[in-house]
Amino acid sequence: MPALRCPSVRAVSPVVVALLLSTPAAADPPPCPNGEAPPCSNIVGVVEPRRPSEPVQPIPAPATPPGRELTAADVAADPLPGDEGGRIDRGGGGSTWRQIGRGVLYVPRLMFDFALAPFRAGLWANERYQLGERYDRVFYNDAKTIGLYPTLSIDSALGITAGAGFVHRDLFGEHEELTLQAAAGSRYRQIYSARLASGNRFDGVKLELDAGYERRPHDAFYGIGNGDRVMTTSAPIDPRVDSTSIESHYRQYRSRLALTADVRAWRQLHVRPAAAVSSVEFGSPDQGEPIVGLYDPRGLVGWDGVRYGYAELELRWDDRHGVTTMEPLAVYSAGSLASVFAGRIVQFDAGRDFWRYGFDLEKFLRVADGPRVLAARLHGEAVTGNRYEVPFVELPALGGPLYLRGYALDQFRDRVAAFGSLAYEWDLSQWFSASVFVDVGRVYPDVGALSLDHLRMGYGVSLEAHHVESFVLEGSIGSSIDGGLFLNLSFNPVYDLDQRVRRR
Amino acid sequence: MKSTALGLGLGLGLAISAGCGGGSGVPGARFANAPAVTAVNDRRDVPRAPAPRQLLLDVYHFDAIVKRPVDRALELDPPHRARGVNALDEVPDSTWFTNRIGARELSGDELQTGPITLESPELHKPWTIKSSKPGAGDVGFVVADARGEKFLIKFDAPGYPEQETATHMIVGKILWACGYNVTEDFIVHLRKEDLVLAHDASIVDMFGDKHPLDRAEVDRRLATIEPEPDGRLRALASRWIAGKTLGGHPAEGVRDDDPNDRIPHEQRRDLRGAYSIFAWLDHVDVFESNFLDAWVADRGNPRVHYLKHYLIDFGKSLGVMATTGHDPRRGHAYVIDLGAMAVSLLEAGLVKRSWEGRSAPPLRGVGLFEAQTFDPGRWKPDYQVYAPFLAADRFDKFWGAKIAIRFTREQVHALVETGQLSDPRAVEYVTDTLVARQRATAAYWFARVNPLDHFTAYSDRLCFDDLAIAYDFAKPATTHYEVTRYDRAAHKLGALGARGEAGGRACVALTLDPGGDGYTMLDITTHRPDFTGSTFVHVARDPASGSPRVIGIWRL
Repeated sequence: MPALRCPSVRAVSPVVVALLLSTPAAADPPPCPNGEAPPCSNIVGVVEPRRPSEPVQPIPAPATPPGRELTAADVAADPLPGDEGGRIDRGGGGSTWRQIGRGVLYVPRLMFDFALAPFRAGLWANERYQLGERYDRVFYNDAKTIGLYPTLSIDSALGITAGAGFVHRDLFGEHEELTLQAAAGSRYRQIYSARLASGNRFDGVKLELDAGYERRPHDAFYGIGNGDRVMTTSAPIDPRVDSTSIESHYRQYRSRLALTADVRAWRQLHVRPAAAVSSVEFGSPDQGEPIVGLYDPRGLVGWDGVRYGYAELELRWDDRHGVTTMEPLAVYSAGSLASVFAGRIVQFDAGRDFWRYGFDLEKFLRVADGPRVLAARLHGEAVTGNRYEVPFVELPALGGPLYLRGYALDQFRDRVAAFGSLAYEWDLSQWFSASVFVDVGRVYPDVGALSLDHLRMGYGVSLEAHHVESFVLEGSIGSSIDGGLFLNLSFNPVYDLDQRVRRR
Repeated sequence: MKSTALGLGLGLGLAISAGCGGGSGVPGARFANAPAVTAVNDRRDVPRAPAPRQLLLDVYHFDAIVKRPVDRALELDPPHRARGVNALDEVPDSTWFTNRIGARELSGDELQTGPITLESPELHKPWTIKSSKPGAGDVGFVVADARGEKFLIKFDAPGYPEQETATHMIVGKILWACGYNVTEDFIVHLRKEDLVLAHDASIVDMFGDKHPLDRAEVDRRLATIEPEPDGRLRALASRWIAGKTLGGHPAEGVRDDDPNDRIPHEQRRDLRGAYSIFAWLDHVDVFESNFLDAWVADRGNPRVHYLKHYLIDFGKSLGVMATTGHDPRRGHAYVIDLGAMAVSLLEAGLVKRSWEGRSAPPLRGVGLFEAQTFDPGRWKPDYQVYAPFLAADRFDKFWGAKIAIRFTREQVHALVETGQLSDPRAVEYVTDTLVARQRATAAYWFARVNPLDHFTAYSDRLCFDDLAIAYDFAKPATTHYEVTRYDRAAHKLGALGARGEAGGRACVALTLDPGGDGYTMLDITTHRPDFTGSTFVHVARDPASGSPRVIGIWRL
């Protein structure tokens, strides 16, 4: 005879629900045992209430005698951990559906772990064997002032460039720093540089001397002027007179020797003289449409190569800062920067000398904790020579991650460039912040042509990573009223001013 | 017609319910008729010392933040109620936890003394430097005092005088009183000449290689410490933990090499419930390095060894992590908080975050510690890595809150005084803030679990404390209890009601099931205007005395 089986709770639940629905009285408080209407008075005399400040007495009394630690002998007869619950019921191991689900998800889980394994193994090996420290042991001296290090850079246009560097951070005992670097990405992509910085050698004055040679295989050129981009052209364009813009490429070999100084004159006012001699040669690119196929070489001033000297004086007031110690040092939330400069370019070969001059203004306004900041930038730059005198690569340019995001790098060039930017930045965490920005600007053939007509406007969002004390990197996605989508990754803050003597 | 059909259905339902336990949805007998366990035997001999755990921090964080959350989701593991609790939902004494405050009277002196069993090393100078502090980072030394007792001495971070040393003292004493094992700590003052160098003093680098530690290096390190106005250096001296130290416990699972470690750590109530206590204390520095297991000799029989489990390094609690880390988010968001970052990204900073507007009081020795923005349910440690906290449920947090609220203001004040803060206003501020956060913690969790406790069965009544009333979070006039009795098969025996009483101690009539050992379950549901919650109290006759006794509690 089969045993009488009770229906499960699930089986009778519709009936119970019906009971609850059909009998409103069931929801009423239960009757008081002494016949009172609810709420009931307590049926047993109230025990002396305990004051909140009095320690309560759990039941039963604790095992540990006051002030004495238990010993192995004290607990020898007690249950093992896990058996202390006093339970006589035992829970199941999970529903069948859950077991089936686990089985189904086992493979995805394995795949996930497998996909992570290389990265995790790298972390493990680095930490387990202290690879970074071991590297330092081999390639640096004990004081870590002299050493060799690898370099790697990723450029959206030029690809991966890898190399090595040597650094001596205390050359003559006052933290003078010597850096030598060599890197290559291909036959046409090479960088060699040497840099010597004065460190603390001179009180209030910092000097830097650097020399470099760089082979860039396929820089882009989009013509001169504020012209709209086209996809094709029927005849070579003379960029000096025709602002039609079409993407073309050229190779550039650049040699440079530069000396810069920073003298703190008064409070946040710095005087920054700089001088450089440069030599630039051009040629056909290793990829992309060659510049000479689209543009008339006669219109590309300096195409046969240029050698020139440049001397500049900049006055810079910089009191950008954070407002509280709780803000990362890499994030400006208040203050401003104002900079004016003027420099003379002396051409060693044919071509007239000319001036370069301009200004930068930055203002940071903290609007809330985080910090959340409104940041405004203005940049203006001009040259005095005309389009027939100034080498095409020396014309002020806009476009790219620094000036006019949402456009290609150096998409616009001409004798005058004007640019403005407004950004709203907000924190995502202590280490990350985001911003939305609008960049506006255009180039002009001369100062008299300045106007608000035909402005180019880019916009987008950026994400910045920083430590408490320093900037790490910034990535941005930008587009513009002219279309296109540009991803930029930069290891320099957008609010750091461009160093003209070290331009590409 | 419809009502007739319904009535038939009703009758059938009632008949089934009456005939079968569980028809009411109430489970049957759950607990053995036995006294609750007050201690567990996790002191069985572990004859050989387990190997120290090697913590690889990057891998640890990667696993905890990236790998394990996905793995856990794919494992479809349901939430588990905590283990390591007795039938009364309390934690028995063990090598992890010892019931102290609330379990017995703790005098002010005992609270201030805490785990300390010997005189301060300040009375036993000079100190001989054995080595630099293990690990990178802050300045510190391992020293032996004139008695030969070994201590680790650490200093306050420059620019933050008294903060870490005072905080470590205060929080260590509180955690000890709560029931955890902590180090024996002392605030000490020293001059450079109080430190002498052992002939074999060493610096241990990260490869484990020893290098000689010379006087010049000691002086160079001490020069980075901010002196007191009288020129002395203030430091914290932590007595070296006895036995062989083995590193922290794994956040998930058990130590495979410890046979006494039988409950997966993410299921341990004493670890999960620490969430409320750590939140109260803003002890955000929670990861494996801040726990320490030691293989120790039994005090009664030195030939027996087992593992004892410590909490260490509390100096970044009480808002000190926020000040020294320059981050007001601490306690409100994880350092790497992908969820909070995504929300902030979408909100574009237009919505005020809970940590905004926080600032440290201008008091020497006090970190960014305040109660105004404290949310006991949303508090977060620095990293999303400690599995017991991720698994903790409201019952665990209720347990922790019960412990936290047991400290009186006077006791808190006495504990804060152990930090030896030089500004009396700082002592009052920290005390006030601790009390405010303590009450916020208890108020929060007492509103999420039926806060009835300390059940006592008498011959004719069952009495209990309503903690919400006892600690003035609820009014007795607006509280009433609905009590339903069931037999061991969950058959309903009857119902009655009672109202809240001043002081929180209330009693209801107790009539046991006449059959067998009288196993009776009382479902006590508390009703307040903004709260309803139930607790099942299991009562049976003690076979020895025949008197009723509480044999188990099951909170819903």
